[in-house]
Amino acid sequence: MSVDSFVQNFKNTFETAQKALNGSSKFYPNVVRANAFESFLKSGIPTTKNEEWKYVNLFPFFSIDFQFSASQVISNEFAIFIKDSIESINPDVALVLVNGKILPQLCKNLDSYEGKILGLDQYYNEHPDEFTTLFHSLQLSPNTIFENVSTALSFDGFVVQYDKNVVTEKPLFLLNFIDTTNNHIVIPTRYIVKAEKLSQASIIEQTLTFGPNTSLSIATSEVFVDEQANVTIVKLQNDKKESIVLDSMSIAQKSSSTVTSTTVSYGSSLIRNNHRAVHNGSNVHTNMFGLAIAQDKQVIDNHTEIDHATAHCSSTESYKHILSDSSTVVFNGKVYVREQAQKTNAYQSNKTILLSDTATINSKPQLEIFADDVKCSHGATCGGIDEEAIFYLRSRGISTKDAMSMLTLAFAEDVIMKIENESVRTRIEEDFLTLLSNRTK
Amino acid sequence: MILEIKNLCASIDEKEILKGINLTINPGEVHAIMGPNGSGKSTLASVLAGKSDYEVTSGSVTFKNQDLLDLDPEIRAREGLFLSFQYPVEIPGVSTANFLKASVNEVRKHRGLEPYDAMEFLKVMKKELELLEMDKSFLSRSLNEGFSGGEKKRNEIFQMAMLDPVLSILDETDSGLDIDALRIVAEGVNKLRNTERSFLIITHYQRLLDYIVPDFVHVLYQGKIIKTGTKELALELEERGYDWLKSEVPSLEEVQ
Repeated sequence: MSVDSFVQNFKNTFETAQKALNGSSKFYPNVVRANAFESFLKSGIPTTKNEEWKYVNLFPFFSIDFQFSASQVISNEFAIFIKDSIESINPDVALVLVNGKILPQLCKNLDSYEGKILGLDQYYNEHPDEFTTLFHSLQLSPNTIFENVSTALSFDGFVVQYDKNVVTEKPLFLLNFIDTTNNHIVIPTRYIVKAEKLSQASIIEQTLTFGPNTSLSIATSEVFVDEQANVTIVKLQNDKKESIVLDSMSIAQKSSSTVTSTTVSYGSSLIRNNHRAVHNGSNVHTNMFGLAIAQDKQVIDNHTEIDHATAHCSSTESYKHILSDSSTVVFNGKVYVREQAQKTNAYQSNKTILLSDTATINSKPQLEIFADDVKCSHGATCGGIDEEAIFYLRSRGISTKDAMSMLTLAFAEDVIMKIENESVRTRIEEDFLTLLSNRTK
Repeated sequence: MILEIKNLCASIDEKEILKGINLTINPGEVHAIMGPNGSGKSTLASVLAGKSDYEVTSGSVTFKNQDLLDLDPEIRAREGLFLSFQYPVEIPGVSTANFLKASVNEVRKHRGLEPYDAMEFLKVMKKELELLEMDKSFLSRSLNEGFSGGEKKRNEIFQMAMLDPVLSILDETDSGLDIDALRIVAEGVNKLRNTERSFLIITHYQRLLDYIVPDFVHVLYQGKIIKTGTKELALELEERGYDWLKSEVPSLEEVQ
């Protein structure tokens, strides 16, 4: 029933927006939106019969009545929440979204930032040819589902543009605030990162939900990294429990570029990440790191895909999971090595610590190799904490509980250390230790 | 006395390893336990440190007037019992410095002392590092990870120095050490020797006892102490091996 109401609400929301377009439906971005809208109506919400969604039944999560339109009034309480959160994160540069819209007065130091922020439609008006090669270009039907929701409703979408040779000093914090005071709410976000030749940039994403109801963030981003550019993306998924995150990121890289993506997930009741990178040039390198700490009945599903479409490229992928209680984690790591992608060097590892007998890990490395002169390795491990190590620490006066925390943090540390920003790193470590110490033995 | 072991019997997987150990250690004394492979030396060390793999079937151990067997391993450590492991565990991701800070401060807290702040701690650590001729890069490395055999053993003695125990059990600390490392480790121990601190040194060979001169030498054989003497006993064992002792205790052979 409520899956239907989700689709119905989506339909109504899109159609209302469509009517407001006043005849600009032939405008290219609107054409893409309309196509995405149709595609989603066709696919609907995937069931577990869909191979890409087989481990997680979404239907219970959609049993609540989600609304698509947020109040445009910012209550005092919400304003205080935003202010306090920004103060505590203390970013040098921040792009602040409130219920899916950029709120310029809350953004921080964007004027002096080396990157440029433009609305999708504005970007199309200025660079129409370029835009058609970017927007929604990396989505692969039939696996594209929720990406279509955020594309269809991307009226507030934006482009983060790094011109040729631009080297940013500070990371850009992309803070997405959602207010659920009035109802359960869906917030689609849609953005493109365009890093031109030799540019260097770093983006840190975080969604923060306020209010008693549940937020559903449907975020889709496309990241285009040109020759010799270097882009770092950190996704800190630590939102409160009354939230659901469906995050899709597609990266396209040209020659000699490097992308490092680190996703740390320990919030929300359900997180699904679809993170992809496709190589289009030689000497490309992709790093994809992930850390998931799941408790209670949390579900964290990491689907990754690295598409080695060209020769002489490499990728390093490392995902670590720590599961307790009755949580469920999925790791599905696809690595394609196309026929022409000779001399590919692809490495994938995923390691899991299970702290309870009722937690579930589904780990599926999926390597499809069509070239014959390549180096590809993958490994998956799953187990408990080393008893010998616990005894060693106890014999030095450290309690069992602290020993467990120390060893679990140590397990996660190599992923956390990939994050360059020290304050984000410290925050993760602190949250992590709190999570572990709150755990009932 | 610091430690009094009475008639201690312990088994693992229902196999009896210790068959009635009696041993008393007074403050300031250095005891050495020698014995052939499989005689139960490491089992004794593990039981004293509180490893749960072993089951104590009878007997008692009193440590500083408390029932040691009743205490959790971490409480034993905080009370001042230290085990230098024969095979220290490698723990990737935990830096030696962070680990030691947590460890030392737990022990200090238990003893009613203020925990060290970062600066004080660093100062104390540096002093002990010098004692053991260790480079300070040790501190930032993951605990025992990729350490050579000698580095691991020196790290154990370094931890011992930091934790200031009243009773230190050295389980084959000399195994895997070259002659220079052996000297450094022994000097480290000797500098810590005083009228309060006691040591129980478990070793195969008399070599270590050239450097750390014991007050008493015990021979452990088939789960029992079959002979006790002074440092001369160690020399005699080095010269004659264990066989002559075995023949001195025919009753044990018969039991076997």
